[in-house]
Amino acid sequence: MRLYSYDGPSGRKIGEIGDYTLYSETLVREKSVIKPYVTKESNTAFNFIYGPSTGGLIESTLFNILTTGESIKGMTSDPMFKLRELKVLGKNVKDAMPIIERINGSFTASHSIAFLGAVEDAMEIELDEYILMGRIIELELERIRNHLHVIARMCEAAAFGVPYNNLFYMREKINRLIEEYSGHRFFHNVNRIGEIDIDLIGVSKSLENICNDAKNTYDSLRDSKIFVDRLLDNGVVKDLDCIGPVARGCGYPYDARVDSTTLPYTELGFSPVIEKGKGDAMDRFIIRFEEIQQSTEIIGEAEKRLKKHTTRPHHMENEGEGLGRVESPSGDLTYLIKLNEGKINEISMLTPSKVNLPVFLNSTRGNVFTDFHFNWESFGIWISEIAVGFI
Amino acid sequence: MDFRDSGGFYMKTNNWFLKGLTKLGRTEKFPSEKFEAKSQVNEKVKSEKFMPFNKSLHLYSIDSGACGACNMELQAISTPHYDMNRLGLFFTNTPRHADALIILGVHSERMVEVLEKAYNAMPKPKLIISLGDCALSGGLIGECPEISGKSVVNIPGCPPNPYAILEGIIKAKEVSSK
Amino acid sequence: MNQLILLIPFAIALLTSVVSKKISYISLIISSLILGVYAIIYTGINELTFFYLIASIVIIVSSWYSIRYDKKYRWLAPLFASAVFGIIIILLSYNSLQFLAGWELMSISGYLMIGLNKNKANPAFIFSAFSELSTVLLIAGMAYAYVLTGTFNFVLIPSIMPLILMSVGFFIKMGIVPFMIADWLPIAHRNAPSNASAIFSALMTLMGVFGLIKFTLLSPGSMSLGVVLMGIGAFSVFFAALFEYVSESTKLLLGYSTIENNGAILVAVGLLITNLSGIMDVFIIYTILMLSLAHSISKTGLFLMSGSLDSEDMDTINNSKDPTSTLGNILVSASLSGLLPTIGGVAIWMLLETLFITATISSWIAIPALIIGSLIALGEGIVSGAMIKFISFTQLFRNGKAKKPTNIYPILFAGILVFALGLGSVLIINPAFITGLIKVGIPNGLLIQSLTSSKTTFGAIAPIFIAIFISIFTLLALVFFRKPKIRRSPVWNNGIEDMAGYTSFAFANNMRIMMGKILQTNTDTSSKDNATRNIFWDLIVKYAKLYQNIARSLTWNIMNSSIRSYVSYLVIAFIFVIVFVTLTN
Ligand code: SF4
Repeated sequence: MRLYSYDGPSGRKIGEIGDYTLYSETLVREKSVIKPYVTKESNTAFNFIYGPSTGGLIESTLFNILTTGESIKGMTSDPMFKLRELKVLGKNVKDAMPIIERINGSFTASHSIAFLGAVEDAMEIELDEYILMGRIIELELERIRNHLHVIARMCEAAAFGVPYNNLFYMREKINRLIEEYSGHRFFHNVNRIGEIDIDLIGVSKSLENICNDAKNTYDSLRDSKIFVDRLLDNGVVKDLDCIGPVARGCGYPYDARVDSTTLPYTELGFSPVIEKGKGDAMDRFIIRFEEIQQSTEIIGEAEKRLKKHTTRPHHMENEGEGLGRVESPSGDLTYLIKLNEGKINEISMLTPSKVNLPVFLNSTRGNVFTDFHFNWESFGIWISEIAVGFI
Repeated sequence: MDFRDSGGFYMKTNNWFLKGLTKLGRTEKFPSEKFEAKSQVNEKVKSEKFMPFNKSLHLYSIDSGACGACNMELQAISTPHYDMNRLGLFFTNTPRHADALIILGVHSERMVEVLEKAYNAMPKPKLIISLGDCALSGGLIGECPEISGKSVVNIPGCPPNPYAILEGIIKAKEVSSK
Repeated sequence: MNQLILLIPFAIALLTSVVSKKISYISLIISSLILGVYAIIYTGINELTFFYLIASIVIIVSSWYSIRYDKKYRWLAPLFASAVFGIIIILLSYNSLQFLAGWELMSISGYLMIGLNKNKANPAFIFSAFSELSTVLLIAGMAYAYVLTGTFNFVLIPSIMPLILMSVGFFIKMGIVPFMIADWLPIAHRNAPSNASAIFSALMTLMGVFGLIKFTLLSPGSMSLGVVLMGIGAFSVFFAALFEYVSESTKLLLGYSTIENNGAILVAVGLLITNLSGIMDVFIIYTILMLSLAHSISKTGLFLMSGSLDSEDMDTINNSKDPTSTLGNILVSASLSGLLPTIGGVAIWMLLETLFITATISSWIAIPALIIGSLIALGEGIVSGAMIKFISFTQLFRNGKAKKPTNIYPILFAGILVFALGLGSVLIINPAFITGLIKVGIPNGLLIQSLTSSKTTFGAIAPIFIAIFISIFTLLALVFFRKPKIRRSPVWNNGIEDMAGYTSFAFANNMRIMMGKILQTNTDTSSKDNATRNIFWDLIVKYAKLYQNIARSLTWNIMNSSIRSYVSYLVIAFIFVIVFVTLTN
């Protein structure tokens, strides 16, 4: 590993990865203790089951809500219904890549780039600027798409037809843009070791329209008293163990784009947007829209530095340990792998959804049922990257 | 911004209806020329008799182990570019109201019971549509989900394009009404 | 004939109780039968001997139940018998002193019955304290009456003052707000055995009613006192109904139900005291009798029922279903909800009729009558909800794993009795109010009517016809539509086995939210639960503490919860009774 070492805690805590706990500067050999979520026995409350299969959730997961009728007194979840066991151990990187791309469809670029980051770290591959900038653009495109998706889902919860359709219209446009540049709507088969199979020149121009449209929708939504009212004070985050837009909504500048140096975001003049509010759904909503604007700017900057591809990597190790970190749309995404003769020997990952799920569960306490969807969607949690194991 | 200050919200006329009107006409024509239909009809099931679904078709989807992309693409058919409602297709929130069960993703142990329960809860006549390579064959990830009913139409792709999904669902409707 | 002779069989039951529980309970049943027959045959039914009948039914049912129930308490049977003995003395008494002696005997036995659970002496102590308060008030009222009339015998009293004093004493026993300690505290503390609860709730409160009526009939009327009593009664009905609805313990729910019923009776008594017109008075007296009859029998049934369940907490009841007990329970609670054709339905109908007739009278009393009538109607509606909750969570929902409720035949008997009495109410009520309506096919003698004057009818019901109509239409529906086709499909619970539970707490949440201001529901969303604050409970705890502090220093030596000293007190009181019986005759 070139950038990380096993050491005592240093930097901010991110979360559990395999047998270790990841801090922003070190890997600590300790199991991060996840506080079990305790709901006190109370003879006046009863359980309300939501999920695993219901029209209101995109993915299968179960919520067990402790309630006295309207207000949520506590909540536990069982996300392991759709557990998938992925066969990647013992495979070489090239064969494992398509499976990694299918861990979470909407974060495909993040997953593959983080995974490749770990592989390249282990193989000690140096990347040229074209690849780095290309990857940044991929990640930011994915971020824009995901944020549009999340906000659209929040509008859906409010039965706000016009902005809902408007935002999904934009999301579809981004999807088509991605398809136009990469050949696949979800970045499948784009990233390889030390390579990138995508020609991104001109992408920022196509984005301009979408960005403006999003800004209009944002302004209208923020003027809508009904909508804002549903988000304010909804799902106030009290834990510090959150990451991604959730943390930035609480005013913490947690962002892998600044504290992971594999991708040169800081050279593009990046600094994370934060919102010093209460850490409620409204703050997360604002963060997401502002990040859409910011991502558009980053893409513009990165595109300027896209120079024609020059060399392929010549030096490759076969063995080693590597760690790759990116900021996925929902927060830090990290892979830790061990390669042995070019084959994957050990692999573990840290996904933002897994870190943020307990935070979400805690934040629902004191809300009422109707708040649930706004809060849930505002976290942008994907069960597909929680209910997954490697074999 | 100031909506949080002073304990109030600033008022502004915000007519979503008018806003919606200005966005008219975004739905596209089905790109029949460019489009090559890939969905396969299960011939065995085709020979069985179906009550017809001539008019609308109500869909309920279950994620048995998908990566999320299929979910997004399925959901996308309700968005303005595709607008499933003009074709008489609707999503429901419970299998009790559904005509067709759409299965996404690979086989996962704990979802078997859920799939079976949902299929049993659906009123007759009912269809099953398998969406995406995962649900068809397990794709790269695993095995395909097991369920007592047979799927009528398989929509391949990883994930299938929303148009492919629309085409597949309409085909399922046609099969049933023949 | 001196009717005190009727005490002898009860005395025998009391004496045998020391030897054998079973014989004692059986002889109680026989004695009550004698009392009932005496009430019917020798006196004809009048407004006071009617209470003999009610008491005898309640004693029969609860003794029948006790034969199998009373296994583990050594002192229960003697105390039960002595409480009954005291009650019979009250009923048969010729003068105030006998009345008081019976009252005291009943109270002390009650105190000891709660005290059977020795590790919690407090509730028993508080109960006793309030009983003494009631006795003191009665003594004061009776002494005043003695001053006015010069005799302890029951003769007309020229002033309303004794009645005012005594009525507060009776309130305490009736459990009227805010004096529900008598009925409520032992129940809330789960200290009283079930058969004792039935006695507390049905008979002791009935004695309050009996005393109140007895002295009301001896006192002059008073418009203002009447209206005040009506107001207190209506207040009790409404609030007790609300708290009944949100109660989570079966016994607590039933305790509130008692308060609510006694409130209804108090309204009728208040109306009686306002002394309106001749024909109305008779109707009101019959209203009171019907209310007492309905309440006593149904409440006995339900308390006995709650004793045979495996838990007092409605959410954890886990008995398996039993059609017999379900039938008995449904009938009994239909009566308590005021549904026709049960006796409870007839009684509530009569009460509302009296109030609404009063509302048509051109006097200022029309306005309170109208308001009180609406309050009672509202309260009865809530009570129906509470009864549905009780029945659903004790009998209908959840076919549990625990054993079937045992000892159910007394309950079934109570159920059938309230139904039969409802149908037979035309035979009980004064013939002046029984008529027919040939035009619509109701023969003479089957229709109960309420009269505004001796000529004009205000309203009418025919319980038998209601029963007939219900059965005919049910049969017709069955004949024409056959047995309904039922398609059973498994519950769709998001794709998994049913994990969620619907609790009795959730059942009552609508009222908790709607009446949040009154019930003081905790709506703080972040707190653990949003249960209602039991404002009455808080009040009682406050009273109790206050009273305890005052009384502790004074009476600790006398009331030290030792069974022996109380038994000696009991014996002395008994001798006291005998002496007065002989002296006054
Ligand atoms: S078919 Fe492809 S896109 Fe669909 S769930 Fe499976 S892996 Fe994801």
